[in-house]
Amino acid sequence: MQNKNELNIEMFERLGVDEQQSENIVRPSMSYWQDAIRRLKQNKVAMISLFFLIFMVIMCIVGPYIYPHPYDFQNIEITNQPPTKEHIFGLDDLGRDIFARIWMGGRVSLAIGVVGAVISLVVGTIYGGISGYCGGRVDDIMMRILEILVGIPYMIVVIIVSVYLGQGLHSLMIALCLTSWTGLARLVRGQVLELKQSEYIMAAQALGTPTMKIITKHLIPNTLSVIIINTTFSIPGFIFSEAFLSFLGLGIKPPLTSWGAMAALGQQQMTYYPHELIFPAIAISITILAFNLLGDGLRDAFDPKLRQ
Amino acid sequence: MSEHLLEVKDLKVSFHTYAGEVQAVRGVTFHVDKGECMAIVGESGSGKTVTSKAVLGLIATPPGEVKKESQILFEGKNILDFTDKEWRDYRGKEAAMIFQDPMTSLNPTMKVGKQIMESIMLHNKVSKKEAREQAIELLRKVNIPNPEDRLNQYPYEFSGGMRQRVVIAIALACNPKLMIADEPTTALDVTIQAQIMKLLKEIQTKNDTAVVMITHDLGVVAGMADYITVMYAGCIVEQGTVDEIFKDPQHPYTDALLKAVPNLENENKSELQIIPGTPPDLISPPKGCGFATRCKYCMGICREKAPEYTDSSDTHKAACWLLHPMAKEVYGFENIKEVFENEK
Amino acid sequence: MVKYIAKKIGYMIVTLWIILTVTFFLMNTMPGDPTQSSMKVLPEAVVENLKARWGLDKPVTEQYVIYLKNLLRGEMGESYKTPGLTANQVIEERFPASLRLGLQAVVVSLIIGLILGILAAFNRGKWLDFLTIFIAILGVSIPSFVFAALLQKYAAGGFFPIVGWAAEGSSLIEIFRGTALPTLAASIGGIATYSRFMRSSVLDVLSNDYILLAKAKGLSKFQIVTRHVLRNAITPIISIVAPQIAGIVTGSFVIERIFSVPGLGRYYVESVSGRDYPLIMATTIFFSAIFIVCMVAMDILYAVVDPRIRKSIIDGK
Repeated sequence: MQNKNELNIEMFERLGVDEQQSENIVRPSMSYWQDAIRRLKQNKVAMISLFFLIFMVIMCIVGPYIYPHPYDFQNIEITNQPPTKEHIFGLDDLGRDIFARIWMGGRVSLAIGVVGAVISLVVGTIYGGISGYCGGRVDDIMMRILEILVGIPYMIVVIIVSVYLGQGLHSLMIALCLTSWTGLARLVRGQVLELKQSEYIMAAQALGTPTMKIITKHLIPNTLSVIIINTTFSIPGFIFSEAFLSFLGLGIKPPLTSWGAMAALGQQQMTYYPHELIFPAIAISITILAFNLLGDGLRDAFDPKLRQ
Repeated sequence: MSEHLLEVKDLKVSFHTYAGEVQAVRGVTFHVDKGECMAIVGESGSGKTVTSKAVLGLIATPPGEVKKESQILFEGKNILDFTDKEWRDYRGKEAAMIFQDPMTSLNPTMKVGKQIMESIMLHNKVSKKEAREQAIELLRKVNIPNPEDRLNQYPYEFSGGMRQRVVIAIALACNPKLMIADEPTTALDVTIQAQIMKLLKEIQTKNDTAVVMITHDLGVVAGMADYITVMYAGCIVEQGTVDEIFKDPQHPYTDALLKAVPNLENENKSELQIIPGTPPDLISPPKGCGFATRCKYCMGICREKAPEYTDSSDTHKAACWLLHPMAKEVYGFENIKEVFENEK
Repeated sequence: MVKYIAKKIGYMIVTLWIILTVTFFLMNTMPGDPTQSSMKVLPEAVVENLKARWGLDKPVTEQYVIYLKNLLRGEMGESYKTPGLTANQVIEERFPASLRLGLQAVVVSLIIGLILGILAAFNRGKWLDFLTIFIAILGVSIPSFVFAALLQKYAAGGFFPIVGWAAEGSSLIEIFRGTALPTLAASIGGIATYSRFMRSSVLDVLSNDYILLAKAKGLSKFQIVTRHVLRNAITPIISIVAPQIAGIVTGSFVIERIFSVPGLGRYYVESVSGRDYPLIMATTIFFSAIFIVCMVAMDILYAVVDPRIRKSIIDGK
């Protein structure tokens, strides 16, 4: 029961609706990108991955210049040496410094990953964009071509084309990019089609919004997140494919090296000198892990609906 | 006093989220007798769906938590103390539920007939053939034409209204004593809504089933319910018979809800009134009345202290400081109706 | 439905034809004549003889027609390097090991991956869930050849042989002994992908009202899982099994090499390195055919299992 003494007449004074308090849940307004970047910054794992990747890129660029041992110098007297103070990752079977080679190999691996992703991004976006934007017959034909390309086993195309073009960085890149853009093209097409039919685009058109503004304010922001996420996830795919090919001896050729090629050499020496496999393997694994975690973080930041 | 079929006492349910503990239901008490229909009305987030799910033990724990002091008595037994086995015998057989969205409440990869038979065979010792006969009978009962053929179809081959009929058929499968309908018509077209409500009413009277109807639309329940419970921000603000609620609302929220229902018969053609503002955040519920910030009649006390229930008849009670003798003294009105009417 | 299957098979044939045509002309324009690639210079007459034997004296288009005709008869060509060795013999001899490795890897990764994914979803936020996420992330981040090498170093040598394979027809234990490590190495990627996918698929299904309705019917947890959750959660997995099979094919190139498995994948890589064009062509077409058939089979299976997909196909998308 309530205590009568606690209540007094003044408390029953009429106040009415308190506009401020009834609407006080309004949050500060923030653009989509600001919000996404804020969410990304809050994601520790993704930020650590991002900084790690930046570190790897910088080391691959400057590493070979500041490290005293050249990557291709063969010190035949001390081959297969385990890590020492002088050679912190040890030496390989030809007496080459593994630490130096990691950064040289990283150049190739990362370059293939990034360039491959950028090429598929450009081709995929243009192809998917045209297909979705034009619609009708053009869309029909372009999608049929795509359906056939998707049916071709990726690795086999890559192997056949790199056999044809000969081994080397450029032919490897062409081979890897030949059909890799199909996934993104499908995605972009789907997005464009969906946007074309979406009511808010129609609403914008009905309000007389200029086409350029619709493209910059609606189409690009809505497809860009999908493209960014997809591209981040595709980089590890390229690094993996290159590693596979080089591991099989079908990829990069000496004196150039890559993490995959180093792992292939290391695997042969593994029984007695495991460090020759372990360091390149760690380099690949952690880099790919970082790309995957960054991709997860980007996906969460750009599309909270997808979060599981 | 005799035992009620369902008696909910001081039900409190919280959800533990990353932002903190959301107190979705904060002490709800009501009861339903055999053959009665109780409507629980409130806007989204008022805790009405959580209440209904608690009655069938469908609150996922974690993140949900039914507080210890809560009691839900079904035929005198506290179902919150049930073992898994008791729960399974209770669900479907004693109490059944109809969900809001018929598009998602049927398993898309299982034939409709199988989904009905599943329930029948679970609770009765019948052969597959008998269960099939019963399922056909049920589909006929809920007015689905060609039940023999429909039995072998998948949910996607049904329209929204037809699916809701199937969901009702599933609920009816074991002749439950209590049926809980969570916004059964919200996702449907207006014309279909009326059919479904009629069907539910028929079932209620024919089988003497108790129905708890959850809705945000007072108009929907007018012809169906015997009692109405109005919920706001996890609490019951007013409870009474249909007539009492419609003709003599005691709480400003109920009054506002009634004024928000379009009504053709309304002679003075007053504009539909909206309720400005949004419900309070239930992570840190207000210490006073939950409706205080949106209430036209808000007084100083309303922000400070939660109001107690004031009974205006055996069946009618409301929680509002305006009903307190002191408020009447200050403003000098006899009847709360005067307050609501003078405002126009 | 029949139309859909016919369309899929039509695409399959077109795709295969494009692959074999492109492969044929690529291989034909490759620099270097097989008759010149041998170490010693052969006498003119021998070269002519060899050219006639391989049909290289005819124009390319005619060679192509002959090649197609032979393919339709099931003859896939003859090695340049080892005269008398036909591609059919190679496939017959080498494919069983690859098939066993591939199938075992698919089955193992499906079983382990699905079970892990389901358990993780039902224990969301508990240690088993974190373990599954951990395995899934490691599995997609570590190349299978690293796993294979680690397994070889640390698990092989005792009961399991370091390299080698079980001969066909050996006892079950022998087969297990010989194939366990390569299979496991080939399965890691699949385990990671399936468990991650299955976890989110189960969580997705669990959030549906029909699961709540099943519970409201009074079904036990076990009945809900077996009757309502699994089927709906596994269906979308079918769509990722096909690309995964492709991954196992390529993964097997590496794994067959590390464990010296006498499979077709390893032979393929060897013939690519050795530029034995007829064998490259034959194995390319063979691998592609298997891959494409798998993809189409999965598409059709998907439509059969999920009535909604079937409907969208019948409605003509």
